[in-house]
Amino acid sequence: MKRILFFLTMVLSVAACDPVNEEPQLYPDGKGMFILNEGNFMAGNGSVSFYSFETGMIYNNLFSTRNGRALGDIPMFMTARNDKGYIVVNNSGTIEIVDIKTMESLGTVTGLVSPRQIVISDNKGYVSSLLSDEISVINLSDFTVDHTIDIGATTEAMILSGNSLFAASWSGGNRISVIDTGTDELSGTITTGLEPESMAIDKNGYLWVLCTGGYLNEEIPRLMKISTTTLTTENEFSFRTVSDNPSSLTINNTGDTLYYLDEGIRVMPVNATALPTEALTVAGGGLLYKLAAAPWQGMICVTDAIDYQQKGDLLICNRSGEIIDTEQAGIIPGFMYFVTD
Amino acid sequence: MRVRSSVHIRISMLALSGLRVLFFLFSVIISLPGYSQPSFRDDTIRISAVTVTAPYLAGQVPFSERKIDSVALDRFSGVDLASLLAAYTNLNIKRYGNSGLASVSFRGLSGSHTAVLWNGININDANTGQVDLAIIPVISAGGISITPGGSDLRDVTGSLGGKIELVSENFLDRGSEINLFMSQGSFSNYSSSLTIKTGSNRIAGNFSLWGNTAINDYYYINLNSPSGPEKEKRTNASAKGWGATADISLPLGGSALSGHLWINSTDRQLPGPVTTLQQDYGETQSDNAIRAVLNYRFRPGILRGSITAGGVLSDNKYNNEAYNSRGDNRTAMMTIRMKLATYAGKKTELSLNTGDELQYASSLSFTDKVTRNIFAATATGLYKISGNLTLMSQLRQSVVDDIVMTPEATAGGTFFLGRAGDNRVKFTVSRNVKLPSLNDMYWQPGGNPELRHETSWGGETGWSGKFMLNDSLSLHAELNAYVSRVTDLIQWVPLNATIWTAENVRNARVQGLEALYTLECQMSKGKLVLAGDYSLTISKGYSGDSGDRTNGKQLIYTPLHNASSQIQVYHGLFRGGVSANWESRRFIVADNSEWIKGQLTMDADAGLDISLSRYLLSVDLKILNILNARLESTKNFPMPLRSYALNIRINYNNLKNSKER
Repeated sequence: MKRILFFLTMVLSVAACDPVNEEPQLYPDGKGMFILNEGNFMAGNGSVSFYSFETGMIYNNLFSTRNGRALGDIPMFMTARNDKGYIVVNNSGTIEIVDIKTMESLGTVTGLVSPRQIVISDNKGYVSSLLSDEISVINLSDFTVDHTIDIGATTEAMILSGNSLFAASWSGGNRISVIDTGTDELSGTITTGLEPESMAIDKNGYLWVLCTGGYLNEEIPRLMKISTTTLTTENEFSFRTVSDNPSSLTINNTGDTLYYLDEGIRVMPVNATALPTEALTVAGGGLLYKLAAAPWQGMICVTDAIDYQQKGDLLICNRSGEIIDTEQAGIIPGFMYFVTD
Repeated sequence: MRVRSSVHIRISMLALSGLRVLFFLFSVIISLPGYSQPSFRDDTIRISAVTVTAPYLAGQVPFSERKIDSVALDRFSGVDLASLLAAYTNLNIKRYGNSGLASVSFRGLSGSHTAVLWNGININDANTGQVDLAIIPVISAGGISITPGGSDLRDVTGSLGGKIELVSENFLDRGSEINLFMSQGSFSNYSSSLTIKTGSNRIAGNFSLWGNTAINDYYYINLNSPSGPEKEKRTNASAKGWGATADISLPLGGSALSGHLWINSTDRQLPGPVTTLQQDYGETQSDNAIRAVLNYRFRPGILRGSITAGGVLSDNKYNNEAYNSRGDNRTAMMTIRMKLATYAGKKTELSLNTGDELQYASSLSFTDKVTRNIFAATATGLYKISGNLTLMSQLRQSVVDDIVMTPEATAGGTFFLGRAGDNRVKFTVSRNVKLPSLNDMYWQPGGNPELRHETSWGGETGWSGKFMLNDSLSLHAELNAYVSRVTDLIQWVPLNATIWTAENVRNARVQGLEALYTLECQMSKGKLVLAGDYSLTISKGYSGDSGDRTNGKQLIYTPLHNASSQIQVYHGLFRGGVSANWESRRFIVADNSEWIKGQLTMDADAGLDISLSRYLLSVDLKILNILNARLESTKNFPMPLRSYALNIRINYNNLKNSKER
């Protein structure tokens, strides 16, 4: 009997130490950011990378390495809540829910029409659509589409201010729809310039909207400052010509400085009276695609899609715009999402 | 008037003077038959641009030309040209699923570098610069020949990769034949055709009518399904089409007149990619085309020649419900060609081909209607140096609208290694150009009217032989090596984050080997045919940017290795065969960081022929993808798993030649 107990004890001890069930860590903890690499259109080779500000290294192909399958076609937006990451995969029509510590897939939301971005409010995920006039509302408990909100226009960028969800109609559109997240009903609209592409909310609660002027350069792009309470335009800044292509408006974590791409990185305090005339870093031969302001030391992160056909680069810049690190990411590196620990 | 940078155009005085000589020579030559052929003279007066050409010294040209045999044409008469070429050649086929768009490329280049001709006229779409082989049924051609490489300058500009020629069958003095073909296959795939051919020594005519329809909901393996690899059913991939050809041939003493007509209509759903989930954008496309050719061959005195006039009207309508995107692309192409040849002494043959192609195109994506006129003249000399050695030189000059293009040239030779059999070595060096497609130049947004033509320098050498190894065993083998440098490759590149534009941004260095054999063994009650071919294609892209990480990488969708093999057995009433094709991985990203794995495709067929008097009943069972493998030539556009087709052919013939019967 003692021998049997000894044997069982040994077996259980070995089993307890067995590392088989522990997946190797694909990327370190701590300050970092996920980069969504969109991949080639229709090739289904989108991927997720992680850049660690602790190690100064990039870790690529996280989703496929962890889950043994491709992420999908055009992952283009990510957010997280309670250690769950929500990755919107546009051309696959899915949202992948992952454990942001391990990148393990926890579920897939299907039944979406060309999803673009997701904003979380309480236990609901609001999903914009490039092709549908409806915003889908996801139940984050069971990862299903609970209901939809018909706003009569397709949507792209979304941002939350209190109980108001601002959804921009980018593709051929010129308006922002305001949805009351308490009732999930349309509570108002704001007319903007053509194709509002990206938005940010500053420390004073103003909504900043970057309008590109249209796919075929129909009008001069403009940056609009809108009151989130009265829904009226407080100020408006026009760019130089119709052929300008500003994009990727974002704001720092203190809400006092705007950043966007326009032949390089442009920096603009929210109390500025004019658009910046000089770029911080000139694009040069690269094709700067997306921009994000890191919540540390004023660092600015930019992706270079190069030619949209090969792996692109991630550029880490200091507050002066000097490139302090360059890392090779996946194909068409785009959206960036920061994690702090 | 369109403005084009003078940098792009190389006008040499030599070229201009050469062109004048060609025009003069042409004028002199054309005047000769004019005395005896008044109607022909009238034609040439009405149409300003003309062509002259000649048949070559038989078998002396240093090009590799491969003909698809009639057995293959019969076996694949119910399918499209892409399927035939995939099974019988090592050409690189890229297709978007079972009935989706399909293109063929030679020697490491793209589908737009492949010229496709029908009865002597170019049928590459002027807008896209290429042909969708998925909507060309095999039955539309009486014969198919394939010429790899761009060294043959006789008929067309732009075949930097190679060319495919479809020709109608000439049934003069051969009797009569009627074929009724019916096929039923997996995924509710039905096709049928009726062919009537008849020919006396005074007139011959062929008529074919065909139709096909397919629901095309087929099974495939989705490797990236959220729940892991799963067998799923493809949907939204239906296709239907119909078409007809009519040919007539009239011998007129020493001359001959023939006319050909081809009507083709196809409607397809275009399913989206299979990424995580199958996509459905509600994409549909319809293609309609009418093609017609009139050919007059004459032989006055020491001259031999032909005049070919033809036209193509095509209409492509595209609809994408999801993106609310529509396309309506229409092209009209009118071609006239003349070929004249004569002997100068016993050892020299001179020929002149001139031709003019007028392209007219409209599209919802063009700001205006577009026309382009391409005049070209090719002078060819064949010199028989000795009994074994023949040299050839060609010079081709094209004038596009009012722009004189860089001259093209080929020099080469054929050396016979032995007097017995067809055992020869051949070699060529050539310089070719390819014009931008009209979409490359005028598509909005992004079309670039300032595009330069692509230019290629290349050379190839090869050996081929046909041998009777004994009374019952024959062998045909061929080995070719080639190298080419293509500059100013046209590629669509991002102008900014949202708009792409066409630019001459890349160069390509291509080299490779091609080997093929056919071994035929006659047996007491039948025969055994073994055939195989292999190609090694090293095709690397370069840009002017030394920091470009794609420099020196294999061009996308170009497998390094491709091999195919067929075995066919005929025994009494029965016949059967297996064909296999293997290709190495296809890179799908310019820096070669991702690829489609190498794949092996195997098909099999078995059938029997029951002959009763003048009737022949043939029944065939085909099994496609017998390995049930996951196949795709375009990423995320899978082909079906194992599938079947049953073909029945009823043939009535009253042929003069007993062997044909």
